[in-house]
Amino acid sequence: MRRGAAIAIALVMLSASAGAAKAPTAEQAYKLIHEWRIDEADRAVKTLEAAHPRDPDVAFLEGDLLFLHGHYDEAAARLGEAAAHARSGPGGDEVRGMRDLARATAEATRGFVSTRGKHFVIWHQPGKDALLAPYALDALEKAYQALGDDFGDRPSEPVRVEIYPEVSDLAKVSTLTLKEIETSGTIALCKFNRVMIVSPRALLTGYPWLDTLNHEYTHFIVSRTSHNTVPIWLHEGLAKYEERRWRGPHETTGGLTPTMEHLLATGLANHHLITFEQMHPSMAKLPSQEDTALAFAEVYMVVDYLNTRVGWDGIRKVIAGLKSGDSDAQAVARVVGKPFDQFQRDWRGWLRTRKLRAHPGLKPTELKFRKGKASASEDDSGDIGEERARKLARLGGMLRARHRLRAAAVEYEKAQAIAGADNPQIANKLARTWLELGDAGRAIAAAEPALELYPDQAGPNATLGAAWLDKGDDGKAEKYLDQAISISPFDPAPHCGLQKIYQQKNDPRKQREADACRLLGGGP
Amino acid sequence: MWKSEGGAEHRRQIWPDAAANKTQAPPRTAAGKHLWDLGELDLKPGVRIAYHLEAKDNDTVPGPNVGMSRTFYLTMFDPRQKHEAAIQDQQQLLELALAQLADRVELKKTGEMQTVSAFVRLRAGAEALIGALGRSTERLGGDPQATASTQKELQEMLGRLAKLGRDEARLTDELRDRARRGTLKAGQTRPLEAENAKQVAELERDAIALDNLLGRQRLEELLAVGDEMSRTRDRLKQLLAQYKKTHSPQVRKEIERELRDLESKLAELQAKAQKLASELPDQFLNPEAMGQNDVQSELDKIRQMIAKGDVDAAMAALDKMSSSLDKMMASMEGDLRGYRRERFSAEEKQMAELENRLTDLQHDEQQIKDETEQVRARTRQEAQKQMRDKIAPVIKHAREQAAALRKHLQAVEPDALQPYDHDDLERIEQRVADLDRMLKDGDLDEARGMASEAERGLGGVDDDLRGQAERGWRGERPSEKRARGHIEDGQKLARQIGEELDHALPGPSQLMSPADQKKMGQLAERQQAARRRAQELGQKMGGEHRGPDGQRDPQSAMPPELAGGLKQAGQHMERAEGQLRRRATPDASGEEQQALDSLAKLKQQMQEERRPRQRFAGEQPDKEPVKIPGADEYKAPKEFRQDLLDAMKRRAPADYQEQVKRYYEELIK
Repeated sequence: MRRGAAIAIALVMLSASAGAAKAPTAEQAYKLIHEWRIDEADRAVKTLEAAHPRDPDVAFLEGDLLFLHGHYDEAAARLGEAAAHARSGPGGDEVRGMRDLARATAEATRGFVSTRGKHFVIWHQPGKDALLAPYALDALEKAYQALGDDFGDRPSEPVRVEIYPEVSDLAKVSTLTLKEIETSGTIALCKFNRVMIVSPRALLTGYPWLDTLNHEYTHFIVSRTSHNTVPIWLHEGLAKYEERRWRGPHETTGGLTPTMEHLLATGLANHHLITFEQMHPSMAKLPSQEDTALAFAEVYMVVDYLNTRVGWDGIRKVIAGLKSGDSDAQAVARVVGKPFDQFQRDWRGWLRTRKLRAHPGLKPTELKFRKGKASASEDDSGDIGEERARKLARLGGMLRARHRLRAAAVEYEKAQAIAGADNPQIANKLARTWLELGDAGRAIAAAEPALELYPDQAGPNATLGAAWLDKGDDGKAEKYLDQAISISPFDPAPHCGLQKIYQQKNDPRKQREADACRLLGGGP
Repeated sequence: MWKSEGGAEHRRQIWPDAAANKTQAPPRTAAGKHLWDLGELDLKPGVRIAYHLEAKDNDTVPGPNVGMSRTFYLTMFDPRQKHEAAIQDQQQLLELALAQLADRVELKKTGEMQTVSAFVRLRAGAEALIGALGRSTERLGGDPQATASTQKELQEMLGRLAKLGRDEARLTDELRDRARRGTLKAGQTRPLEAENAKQVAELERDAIALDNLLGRQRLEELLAVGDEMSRTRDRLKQLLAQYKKTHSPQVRKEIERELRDLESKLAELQAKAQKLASELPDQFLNPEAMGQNDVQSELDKIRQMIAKGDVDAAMAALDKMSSSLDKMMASMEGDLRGYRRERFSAEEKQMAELENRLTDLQHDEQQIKDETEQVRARTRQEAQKQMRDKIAPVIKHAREQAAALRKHLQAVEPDALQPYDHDDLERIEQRVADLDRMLKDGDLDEARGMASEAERGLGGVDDDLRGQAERGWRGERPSEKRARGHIEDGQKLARQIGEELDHALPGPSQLMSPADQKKMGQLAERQQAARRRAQELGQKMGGEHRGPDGQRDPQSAMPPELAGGLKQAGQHMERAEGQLRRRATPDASGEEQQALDSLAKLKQQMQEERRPRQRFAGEQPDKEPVKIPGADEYKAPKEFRQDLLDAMKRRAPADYQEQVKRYYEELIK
């Protein structure tokens, strides 16, 4: 346990002085914090503080709780008091580490402003990130209900959500290093009683940030309901499984993405799967983005398998078992009615029957962190594998930039003939070119094959949305434009497109889209 | 009075100066000198200053009369101007190539007549591109920063496009004639479509090549600015150290000037990097160059510390700034390397392979040299051992001769020699001193070498004296005659010393053990093998690289001087091989070292090819005050007279000697 040594003295002193059985001890208070029972911990520490106001271990607990409630400056001060009394050694190091983390978090969030919803509070840097808050609240409120149904838990206190402008901020406020973040592609965490994500504007082409918010919120719920006893593989499996749950029931919103399917199929064929042990202590510490993606795909399928066998009721029982002290093997065995080893074997056997397909040529999308503040050129042809196709795509881009659209389309088509119709970079560029030439039909035909394999790419979604809008099919347009915003919300075009659609049907969201369209420079 | 373009006028009184005695009547003529420190003007490259002199009299009715000299102009050389112009040319070429490509790709299939007309129209664009390419290639010769590979690439591009243009033009003209005669039939324009396809393929390749070239040069520009900042930083370091000692206001002014220079370069770097950001993909962008650095804050700190008088703190701030700058440079060099790896992959691969082979060759040559040196050391030891008893009288005699030689050299009267011969004589004296020392130490091998050098040097001085005597219109002066006598006698003595040492020194077969003699043979074989590898490498460097499709890759052009450098190294290796076979270790070692020097220089050239640095004809720009010569100094300056004398060494044809003699006399009157 991380903080065990720090309060070793308190165990003796405060337990001895606790006196009557009903008064909480520091150890109990610490346990409550560790179990994500923050409300109860608050009450316990309040009692302790009244009884021992100058005790350094109480100062530590209080500082910890202030930190978990998002009062970082006060937390740093209180933890500083505790650190002043802490000895050298692992225990003292932990206290000092907590103090430093509180200070770093205070600095990283200095000047943040908040947007309050019914059950969530979104904290962000003023300016462009303010645009994210309404969408975040909308998605999270839906998740609140959906996950409440699945896990039987709905927090009464608003949940704190922080959106950081840069990837380096996530490193400052967590125990991950920047290298680990960039290597594993981690852009969000749920820790310290809050949800933390990096703003999609820190990445070149955004990322599925709304799904990610819900992924992290699932971690939040699982930690609370299980009293922080769920092992990593199951934690991540549940979070991945529930990622899109805010959009609707599993039957319509769930399922493996083509990338996940491809990674699993290839992993099975090459006998390379990530073990549960390798996933510990965090998926963020896996050596590559591809390994991280494979691990997520595996645990998603474990939960899917569990759901098919024992349903949500069974999953809740597994969590209850863990909460009551079972190991993961015991809890799962008790619910599925067979030993855990057998369960794993059965799962792998079941996995092989899923007829998972590898998609030759599919390149899992890697998160690309933005280097400079200035907007770089749109040339992402460097991602295209085949050299000749890459050059032809670059030529297409150069011609398009000079408004020689027909010539650009010819070059893109040549590139596509080499790289394949499902290459997302080429497909999207070609589709956009057709759109600019006024041919929505050809734009749709160009973009759709890519989107089948890469549904989480903002570009093809935005292009398809614009194309369907041109063709007059608002229903289809809305679906794609929404999806584009859920990945790359700082592109003005989808907002401006949705504004038109919502205006047409007098949807109350029209103002939100009009504001975003204007703020991002897309309006007149 | 002086003024820069768009700037204010400035005046400075040169005469009379403040110390002039105002009670005396002014002279009828006067001269003044002013050392104009251009540094105070804070001149930027490319700026043009106009200046002239004015003289006013004391007339009070209606006012002083002013006499003005003509206006002179001083233009600050900007080495980057030409390079920027060349880049603009290439940008224009890219636009023309893309326009041509688009026109050809968008060609629609129509009737025969319309097709012919379309190709006639296309010709104008093609010719414009070829013309622009020709002009750009020509101008590139004047760009000091253009690499040989860029020039070669554009020349080859021009060649290919010109040929395609000619072929297409011939066909178009033929079909146009048929069309005029009414004999153009269906299907006859199909060859034109085939030509168009070739043109499209070529234009696709060239547009990419030009875009790559532009991106690379833009990145190199950033590095060039960074290099200038590094040089300014180095100068600032020196100035701070100087200021710490002297606290001179002049030095402080210079420090301020260098700080301003650094700031303006930083702003320039950031502006260029920001602009580049919109042209290149994110992976090649450099956040530090775009402004995410603390260079400016450290510069402010330096200024503050100097104002406070805390030079040590200023130097500490400069160290910190320096490491930020080095970090930024390393990062930008990484970006350039990454760019080259991605966009010039064939060339990079080839260069990397060549560099590896060159490194291997250097390593092997170094080993050969080391082993030659080991044999040499053993040979020398053996020589000393064998000759310790036998050779004492030889050494004694040689030392006596060396002393006599030295006396001759010291007896040469200084005014008998030309200035450049003074240096030579000094060197020869040093050689003779070394000769004596080697003899004293018993190192006859080295002493032999010194004697040879002294003899050669004296031969050179003797030639000069003879030439002087032949050319002299006054006839040989007595001191010159005496000097020649001493030099000739000295040369004889040096030769005798050498010959006697040669006779005294045992031959290699007596000094070298059988094992070492065998070793020398083996080293000769290895040297031969290394020479052949150098030859092959030279051929590869001068040859062509083909891509995976068998087509010549235009971006794999190797600069011709690289192959030349290898040839030179190969020649030294050949001579070393010969010396090794003759068991002549000192000479072999010398040639091996020269081969190594050639290889090292070649490697540096290869690195410069990938990371061009600004060339100022091999010099850094000098920021010291420039002296503008006055009229009284125009008396055939020393350097000019030196040049004449050097020219005079070259003998004029016999029939013209008298005229040439008179010509030279007139020049320096």
